This record gives sequence, C-alpha cells and structure tokens, in this order.
Amino acid sequence: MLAEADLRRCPPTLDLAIPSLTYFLDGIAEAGVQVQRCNVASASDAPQRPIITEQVLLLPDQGVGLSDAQRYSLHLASAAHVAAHLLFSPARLPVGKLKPMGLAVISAIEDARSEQLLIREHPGLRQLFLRHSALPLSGPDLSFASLVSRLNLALLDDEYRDDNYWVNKGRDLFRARLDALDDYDSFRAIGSILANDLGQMRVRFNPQQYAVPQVYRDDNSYLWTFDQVSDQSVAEVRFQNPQPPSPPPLNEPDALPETAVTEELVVRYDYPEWDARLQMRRPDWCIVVEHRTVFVGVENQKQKNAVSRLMMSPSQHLDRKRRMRRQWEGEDIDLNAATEVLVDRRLGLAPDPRIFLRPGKAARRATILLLLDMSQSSNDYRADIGGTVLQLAKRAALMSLGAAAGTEDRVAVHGFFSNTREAVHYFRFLDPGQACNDLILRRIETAEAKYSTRMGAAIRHATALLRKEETDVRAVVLISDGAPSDIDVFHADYLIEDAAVAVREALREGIDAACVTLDPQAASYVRRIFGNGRFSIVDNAMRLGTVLRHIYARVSHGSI
Amino acid sequence: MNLDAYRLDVEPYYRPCGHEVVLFEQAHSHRLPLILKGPTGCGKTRFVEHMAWRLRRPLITVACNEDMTASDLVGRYLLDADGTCWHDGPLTLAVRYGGICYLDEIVEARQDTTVVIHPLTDSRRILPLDKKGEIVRAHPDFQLVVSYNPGYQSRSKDLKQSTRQRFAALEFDYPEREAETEIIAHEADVGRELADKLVGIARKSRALKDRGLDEGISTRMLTYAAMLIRDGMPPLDSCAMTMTNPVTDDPDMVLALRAIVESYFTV
Ligand SMILES: Nc1ncnc2c1ncn2[C@@H]1O[C@H](COP(=O)(O)OP(=O)(O)OP(=O)(O)O)[C@@H](O)[C@H]1O
Ligand SMILES: [Mg+2]
Repeated sequence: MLAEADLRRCPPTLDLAIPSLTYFLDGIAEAGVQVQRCNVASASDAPQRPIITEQVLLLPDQGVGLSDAQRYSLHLASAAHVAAHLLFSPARLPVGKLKPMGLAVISAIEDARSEQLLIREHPGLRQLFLRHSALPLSGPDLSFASLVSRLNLALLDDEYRDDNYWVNKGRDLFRARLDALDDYDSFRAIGSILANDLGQMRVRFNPQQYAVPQVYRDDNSYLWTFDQVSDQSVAEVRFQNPQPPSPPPLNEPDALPETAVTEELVVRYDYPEWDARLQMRRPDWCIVVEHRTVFVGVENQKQKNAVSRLMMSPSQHLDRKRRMRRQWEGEDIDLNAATEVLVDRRLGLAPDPRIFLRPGKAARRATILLLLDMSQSSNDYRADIGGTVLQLAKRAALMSLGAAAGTEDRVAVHGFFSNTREAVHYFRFLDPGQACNDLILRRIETAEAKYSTRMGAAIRHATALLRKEETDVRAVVLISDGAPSDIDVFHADYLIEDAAVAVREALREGIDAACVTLDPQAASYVRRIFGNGRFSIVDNAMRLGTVLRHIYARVSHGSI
Repeated sequence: MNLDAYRLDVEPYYRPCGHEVVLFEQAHSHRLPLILKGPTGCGKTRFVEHMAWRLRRPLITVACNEDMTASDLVGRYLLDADGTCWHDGPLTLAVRYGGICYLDEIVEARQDTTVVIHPLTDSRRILPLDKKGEIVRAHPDFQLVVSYNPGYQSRSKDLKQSTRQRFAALEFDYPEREAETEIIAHEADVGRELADKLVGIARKSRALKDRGLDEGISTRMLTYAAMLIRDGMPPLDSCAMTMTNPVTDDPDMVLALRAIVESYFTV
C-alpha cells in the first residue's frame, strides 16, 4: 500500500511517526484523537496491544525487527483499525454476564464488522489489514488463539481457505449478513453463537495469556465497561502511568548581579463579564489580581546571553518583502506614477514627484503577548511530552521569545489561573520590550499551575495591557489546554460566551487574538471564542512549538 | 464600443447545490450587489460565469491583489502621439456599457481601493472618475459581484462594515458528496466510481482543516487529479501531484494524506 517514493521516507521510529499517524487517524475518523506512545507494561503475560482511551490512542512500540516501512505500515494499520471502532463501534457497553471467552469472540466479530464498514469507504485498507494478519508459522492447532486468528483472517480475506468447521461456520454466518453491516445486534448474536460452540468444543481460554491475535488491533477495552469486581484488569492498566521524571531545567541560570533588588507588586483590577443568559454585561464583576516582579538596579547587560541561549531554532521571523509604490526615491520607476507625471505635465498640473518603486520591508512592528493557561489541568503529566502540558507550553513560549530576539518584535510572556471571579491571578512574567534575565526565566520555570480557567477576564487584562503598546500589530496568543471553566460557574456556555465577547472587544480595538490549543476536543468551542482562522488545534503535543511559531509569524504580519 | 468580447457563447457547466441560481436571478433583477463567500476552489467563479451566460450579460472579471490601485479598476490616462488619452478600467467598462463585473478575492485589494465601489453600490449607482472629471451613471444592466474566502481573512484584510453592508451575500461551500461526485465526473470526464473516491479523499482532508491544514482539498484540485488519472497516470502519483503535494508543505501531513489516498485505492 505504500508507494515506492514513500518507502524511503517512512519515519524510522514510533516517536517520529506519531505526527503523521495523528493526522491520518484524525482524517480517517474525522475526529480529534491524540496518538501517544504507550509506555505501560501489560498487566498480564500477554503481549501489549494498542489501547484506545478517551480521545487517545496509546500505541506500543511494536514491530521490533521490522523494517522502517513495515513498522510504519503496522502503525498505520493500527490507526485505521482504531478509526473503524471510533466510527462504527458502540463504545463501552456493559459487560453484564458475558464470560471472558464470549467477550473475546464477540469483540473479534466486532473488529471484523467495523473493519468491513471502513473498507466499504476505503477499499485500500483491506490489503493493509491483511498484510499484518499473517498466521503464525507454528501451523494451525485447536487452541483458542489459533482458531480466532484463523476466523479473523477468513472474515477479512475472501481467498483464505480453512478446513476447520467452526472457522467456516463463522465465515458463513458473517458473509450472510454482509449487506446488513450496520446492524450491530445481529453480529453480536453471531459472536454469541460462536462462543457457545467453543464452549461445547471444550476449547480452553486463559484471559491472562490471551491477546488479540492480530498485532495491529487494539485490546478491545474500548468496547466494554467492566464492573469493579471483574478480574479483567485491562481497563485499569493505562492509568498506571510511570512517575513523571523530573524535567531538565530549561536553562542553567546564571546568577544575577549582586545589586539586583526585586520587589513583588500585586495590583487588583476590576473587569466586567458578559452574561450570555441574561444578555447583559455585569460591570466590575471579576477581580484580576496582577502579579509582577519589579527589578531595581539591575543592568540589562545579561539580556543578550539569556536570550541567545533560548534560540533553540534559527529565527523564523520573515521579512515581508513588498514593493512600495510612490516613493521619493527607489530602485525602479513606478510606471503608473511616471505616466501620471507626464500626463499631469501636459495638462499643466503640478506633477507628484514620488515616482519610484522601492522594495522594502514593510515597517511593521509587532507586540505579541503570549498568554499561558496555567490552570490545574495543565499539570497533567503526558507520556507523549515527557512532562506536563505546562512545561511544554512554557518551552514553546520561550522558543518564540528566542525567535523574536533578532527582530524588532516585542514579546511578552504572561500567564493566568482563576479561583472564582474574585481572584483571577494574572502573572506578568515578562513584559513587551523588557529585557529577559535569569530571574525572569526562573520565575517562568517555577510558576505552578493551579485552579481554573477564566479566559475572558484574562484576555481583557491582556488587552488592556496591549492597549498601551504603539506597534502596528498587537496581539494576544493564548496557549491553552482546555475549555474555559471556573468553580463558581455552572453553565458550560457562560465562560465560552464571555471569552468570545472579550475577543470581539479586543478585535474591535485593533488588537488581534489567537489561540493554540492542546485540547483535541476544542473544536466545539474554540471557534466560537476566537473565530475563523484564529486558532489551531494541536493534536500532537510535540508539534506545539512549530504551530506556535507558525501562528506567531502570521499574527506578527497582521495576516491572521 | 460594446462588450461582445466579454460574452459567453457556450454554457459553462454548473451543477446547482441549493437555491443559488434562483437567488442570483432575484438579486440580478434588482441589480443588488452580491458577495459570494466560500473556500477556494469551491465553484464561485464557475457559478458567476454560468449566471452571466444564463442572463446573457457580458462578464468582466478582475482578480484582486494587494498591489492593485483604484486606477487599475477605474482607468487612467495614457500617453499617445497627440497627447493623453483616457482608458477605461475594467470596472468602468462594465459600468458604462452594462455587464456583470466580478471582483475575485476582493479582500486582497487594499481598503483605499475598495472604496471606489461605494457610490456604485448604493442607490446612486454612479462611478466618479476623479482624474477625468467625469461621473459615469451605471448602465441599467450593470451588476457588481465580488467573492471572498472568509476562512482566510486577516485583520488588515477584512471587508469594512461600510463595504459589507452594501451587499447581499450567498454562501458557498464544497458541494455535498453526491453533487461533488457528479461535478468531478462531468468536469474530468471520468466514471462516478473514481470521482467518488476522489471526493472521499477530499472530505477526509477537510476534516483536517484547523488541525494541521489551513484548507482542505478543493473541488478544483479533484478535477485536476481526475484528469490525470483519466489520461492513464497512476492514481497514487496523480493524487500526490495535484492534491497532497500542493495543499501542504508539512512532511508529516503529506505522509498522512498519502496514506489516506492509498486507503481509497486497491493496487
Ligand atoms: N457546482 C459546480 N458546478 C460545476 N463545477 C464546479 C462546481 N463547483 C466546483 N466546480 C469545479 O471546481 C472548479 C473550481 O471552481 P472555481 O474556480 O469556480 O472556484 P472558486 O470558488 O472561484 O475558487 P477561488 O476562490 O480560488 O477563485 C471549477 O473549475 C469547476 O471545475
Ligand atoms: Mg479492535
């Protein structure tokens, strides 16, 4: 299924494959799903299979000993199979009285049914699935695993022949219902019949040693809800995350000069809030508590070092080349203008002497305020990041800061969390144009995430701060991982609507607002808040830095 | 002077996707200025061509860009042997002699350019030519139609309210699956089965808008792919060249889109 040219380009490791696998899965399933490496050892003796949790696919690094292309193809098959479940399988049905063997057989039939449905739209996937469905070389036997893997193959491959009565019965029952693939119940009935037969054939089943035979398929825990007492521990496995390793510090901070004196400034501001249900603006409703460190007597000589160490990638700032017409001087003559000069002369009018064309950087300066959502949820450890969401967001913000260092842009890094409308804490870590020093870096590094996300108030405060800036472009870029929320608000829509109003007010003042979000479910609200083209949903956390740079470049050119 | 050169003699193929034909006819009968909104390559230009043909009006199209000045629309004095002479710009031609003027991607033009259409698009229906000292009254057949892609708007490039509120607007989107399949089959002269696959791929890519893609694969790209495949090019290569490669530069996205393309073809 992979064309020649692509074979050479297959990502050599699972981690490098994850971005494209995420796109592939998002596209096929038409939904936002994260793909992450599964670092968890299986609880049983059985080999690890992919796991689908809420909006996350955990992929074990299978395929040791395969070529890059084969391994990538295996992961694609996993993603496609998962898409089949997400699109067509009922999720988390109660297990009820089903025995482990019944569960395994019904799941196998469901795997086949959902794949068939997917293959109707994507016929090329049959080959992909088949490529990773080969039977083990040990030859057929009458064990449960062998029978099920042969059944799986028979259901997928019309050419496959088997001499086992049970396998053929399963195939015939399945084939007979191919024109009613949408009917889950009738396929479940087939599964029950087949499981019953196995019981009568006295085939033994050991749930501790059984893994879904097709390596690309998930462990099917997605399909079922297990009761507390069930000895099926599969569903619990995924929560046993390893202890987060403590991340390396962002920088080895140099000591500040002895003379440095800092002062913590805390100032309170009142802001209104929009109540969508009452269609009313509540004046002075939220209190933003602003925290700022003021340096007294610190020379700025350190700033260059500090910032250049942040330059993890070369500056991405693009100079916008445009031709400027009607210049007093320049390299080319503006033909339109020149013609008009001659015309005006003939007509006896005073000609406009600005007849030159000059290539030039548009003298557009930007102030970009990067606003970090520091609510509790950003403390979540994520295996795919190897750290918390907040750590990643901070790193991405500092990279943008580094990239802006060589330009005329003024970048600010602020953050916020809220604990009811009375306490929206807002941290001005680094203000626009302020020299970055080690103390600031350390404060950003050690800033902790807490409480909730009252987005509207924070955006209003950021807007107010930007109002004082005099650059051509002024923008707030929010780096977020979830919908707005707070503990004193019970209607999900309330804070979304309020944030949307805050954004609209900012835009009306000529202050741009955009958002990069790590929440795969953000589609339902982020467009409502920020509007078309003003947001990017990052399903793959490792791409946050890249996406942020992209948004940054667009915002700073005023081309959002 | 007449605008015969701008008349369409052959019916441009257009597959309606809603009531847009009737709505356009209504707007035209009152000469209401119209905005066509929609993503790139979804059929806006084709629709205007079709309507111009249907209503038997000449169609003058201008692709707007940032460097465009008001004179590029309205006209300017040029020099000739005897002195100076005035040349009508495309907008003035349509206004003077009666035709549909279509300004493609109007937001690309700077706002000081767009304001020249203001007196044309209210009850005055006049076009002042400041340089020439003439006021052109619009011909009864003149209608202004503009297009823009709202998904790609920018603050600096946005229609001002004072411009917006002079227009009626029709919203376009990529056609429904059935309709888009029919369009591709017709445009590229290919079988419905192939057309349907290509439309399927495009729809999956559109699910990736804002999740890594700025825009999904357009109807226009599909017709290109279909033409290459019809000419005997391998489907995977054709789709790579006309769809997955042009739509993004992100190598991971290219890889994912190719895998999606491959999922539609059996080789
Ligand atoms: N409803 C339709 N009927 C017939 N052809 C269509 C239709 N929709 C799209 N097409 C096809 O899609 C192609 C692209 O459409 P068109 O050039 O009109 O796009 P557009 O919306 O004007 O794009 P842009 O905004 O980039 O100018 C057309 O050449 C035509 O082949
Ligand atoms: Mg499964």
